[in-house]
Amino acid sequence: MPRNTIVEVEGLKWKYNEGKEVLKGVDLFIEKGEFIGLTGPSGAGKTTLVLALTGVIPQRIPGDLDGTVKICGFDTRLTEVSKIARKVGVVFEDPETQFVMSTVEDEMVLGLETRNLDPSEIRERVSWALELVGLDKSFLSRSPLELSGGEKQRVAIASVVALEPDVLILDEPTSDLDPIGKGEVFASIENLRKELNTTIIMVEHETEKLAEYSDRIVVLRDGKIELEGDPSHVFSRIDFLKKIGVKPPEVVEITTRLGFNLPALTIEEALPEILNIMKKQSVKNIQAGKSEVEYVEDKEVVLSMKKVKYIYPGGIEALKDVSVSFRRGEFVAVVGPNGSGKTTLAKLACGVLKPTWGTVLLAGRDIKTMRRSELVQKIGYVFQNPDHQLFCQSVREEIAFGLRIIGLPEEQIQRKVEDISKLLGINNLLDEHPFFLSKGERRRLALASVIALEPDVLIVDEPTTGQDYKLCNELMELLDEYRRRGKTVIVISHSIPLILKHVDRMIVMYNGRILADGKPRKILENENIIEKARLEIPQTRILTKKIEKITGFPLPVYTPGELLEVLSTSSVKNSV
Amino acid sequence: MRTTRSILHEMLGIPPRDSIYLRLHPLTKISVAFLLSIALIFATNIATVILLLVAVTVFLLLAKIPLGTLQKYIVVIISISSFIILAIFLLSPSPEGNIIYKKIFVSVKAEKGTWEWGLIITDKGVEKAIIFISRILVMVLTATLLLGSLSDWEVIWGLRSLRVPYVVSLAIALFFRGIALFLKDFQVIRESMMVRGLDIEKGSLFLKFKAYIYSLTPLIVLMIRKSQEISLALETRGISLKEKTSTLYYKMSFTKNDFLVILSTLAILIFAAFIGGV
Repeated sequence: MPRNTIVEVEGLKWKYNEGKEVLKGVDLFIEKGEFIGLTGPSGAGKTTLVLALTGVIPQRIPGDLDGTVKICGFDTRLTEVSKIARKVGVVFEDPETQFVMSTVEDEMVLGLETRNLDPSEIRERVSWALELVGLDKSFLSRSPLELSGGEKQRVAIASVVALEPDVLILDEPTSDLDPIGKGEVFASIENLRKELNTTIIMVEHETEKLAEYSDRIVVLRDGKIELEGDPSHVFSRIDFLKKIGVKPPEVVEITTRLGFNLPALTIEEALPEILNIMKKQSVKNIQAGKSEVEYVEDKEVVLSMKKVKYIYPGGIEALKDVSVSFRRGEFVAVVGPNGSGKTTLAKLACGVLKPTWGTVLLAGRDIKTMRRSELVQKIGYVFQNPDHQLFCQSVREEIAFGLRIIGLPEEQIQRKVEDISKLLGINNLLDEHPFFLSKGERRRLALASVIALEPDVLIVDEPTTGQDYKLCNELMELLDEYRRRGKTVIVISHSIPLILKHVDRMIVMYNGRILADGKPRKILENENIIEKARLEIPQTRILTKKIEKITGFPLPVYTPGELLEVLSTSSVKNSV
Repeated sequence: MRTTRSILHEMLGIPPRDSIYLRLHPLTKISVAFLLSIALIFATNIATVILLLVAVTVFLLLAKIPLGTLQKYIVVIISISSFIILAIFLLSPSPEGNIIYKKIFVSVKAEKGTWEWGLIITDKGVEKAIIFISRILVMVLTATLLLGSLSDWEVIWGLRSLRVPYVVSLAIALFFRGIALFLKDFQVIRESMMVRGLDIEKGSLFLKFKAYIYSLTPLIVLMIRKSQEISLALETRGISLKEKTSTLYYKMSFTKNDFLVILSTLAILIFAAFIGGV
């Protein structure tokens, strides 16, 4: 056992009352001041482990626990959750569910007041914590719910940090954030470590950031620790990680495949070695957008918006004179920072919101003139949170819901239910209640219930949030399959690597307007757009941009595979 | 301390406007609503309800709460009022007062006399209906005044000043937050039903009713999940049922405006009791 141990987990097994064993013998020891990156596929038991570390399991959630968990000297079976909380702070995935009060100041004061601190000390701690996460005092009077995604998560962290915990646990704190938001959160945590030597345990799918900041990586799979060690050791198991649904950092993949003794964890570490390789061999010149799917400009327009403006009842102008059209067979991604108008655009397209100004045409007809039952056969929208979209008593009923409304014969409905459930891999769950499914399954059910109506245009809002790499790819494959049936798919997403892999057109939104519309790779070459719309550039492209800057040689590649292909080919001599 | 976000703001997105009333001590604002609610008990005649309606309207104007925001709820108030009026006129077996209008729907003649049922409008019945509707209006306006001028923190703060335990005060503040979350979820669920083909806007009353039934499942599930999440968030921040604290972060004292408002409301209460016939 290491010295200075602050977390001791020995032989931890946990079974929920419904009978599902989620943790199957976890041993984990963490030293004071360590930064532990906890990752693994969806359903591996990461959140359950977090709850076990805080004492919520077994004290608040019924089930069977075996083994021991000690944190900051407290046995989590015997010490009250609120007492453990005096030493252990937790930030959950969705900051909104943690906000209790209506202003940032009240939110931060809430936990501090119960510590019986002097008001002047509370005031000092509030200012300090806010500064630590990079927010100023002007935020104090604002509502936490009205902040951007990154700001919300930073307020959640500040509220916990103000309590000065010895251990800070963060459960997927960046899953719903744009790249800038993610950077802000990691920078806040780094500040905290520097200032207070706080032990950090972070659950995260974002392995590139984990590789950069963590001292140790723990990969959990099926309730057991599958891999544990320093980031370069763990992330070099590229094929294994990909197989279980964990996306390894791109630079680690590149440098491992290139045969580095110790793979690089950051771009800075990888750059000199790659430049060396490029010096030794010649490099093939490749063009940007080479592997992209071609536009389908000859196909008919299925959805178009003309000069659409939308003002919310509170007066917020969410969409400003937007004109855009979508053609049959397109796979389009709508990207942009939180609050840029992406979801409003989707809701206007499917008639949930009515434009304040302008028109929305579906197959040339104004949607105002269409009945709802007619509209749903032409355009479908899958909400970000599946729980808002499920209201029947069984999976079968849920998929059949829309089909019954449009008046399909029962025999046909049952046939469609079987087909769609098979396509989405939920055919074995047809008689289950939707709310007893896992989040991934609920997401697929929400999608199935809309796809069942076979709309010509399908809009899916953030389908990959909080899901592992494998599930994200499977979902995007599925949407691509739907597109291949001659449908138009519009996906709202932050994930540029997934967009590059699957999508042929990207619309960038910023401040209620369309900032760019075109091929993803072409747009991603525009620095101004990237900066303004807070787009995430894949690690490989950041690396190749640095190479371009040093060598002057154009290397517009976006994926590890493309870069490795370039580096292993020798068609242009002495390029560097 | 100034109310920057009222509960009404959280629920309906109506931001508070700075006013004398808004700057009052939270306890004063809670007391006004409490005293006006007590006064309603004495509102048994038209004079009393008019007095209370005027009083609460003056307070609303002082608080600069836009009365136009109540427009949305007028339909609901009218529906309830119509139901009450009909109930008064149709279900009173032998209405008191002078008959203004009479229309008999059913008449049964028997040996011992005639039994009749129909719409009988009397001057006393009209007065009763006005009192009933005005009382509902006073209740709605008082609730608007309270929610439009208090933030959730002021609820906790005000109640704690009254020696209500910390956890109870927090639970009451959370109740209001729960309503705001409920309304937001309901809105999204309604939209998701439209996306699945239910024409809630143009559909029949039966369809609307069906939609409410459908929305119950996700609403209940979301409510349970959210309350679990909020209670976990509180507990993992060290706030438990046994929590006791003497620290008051905000310092605020009564001003002459507070005394003036409380005394005025007390005077209204006494006057209402007097003219209400106590």
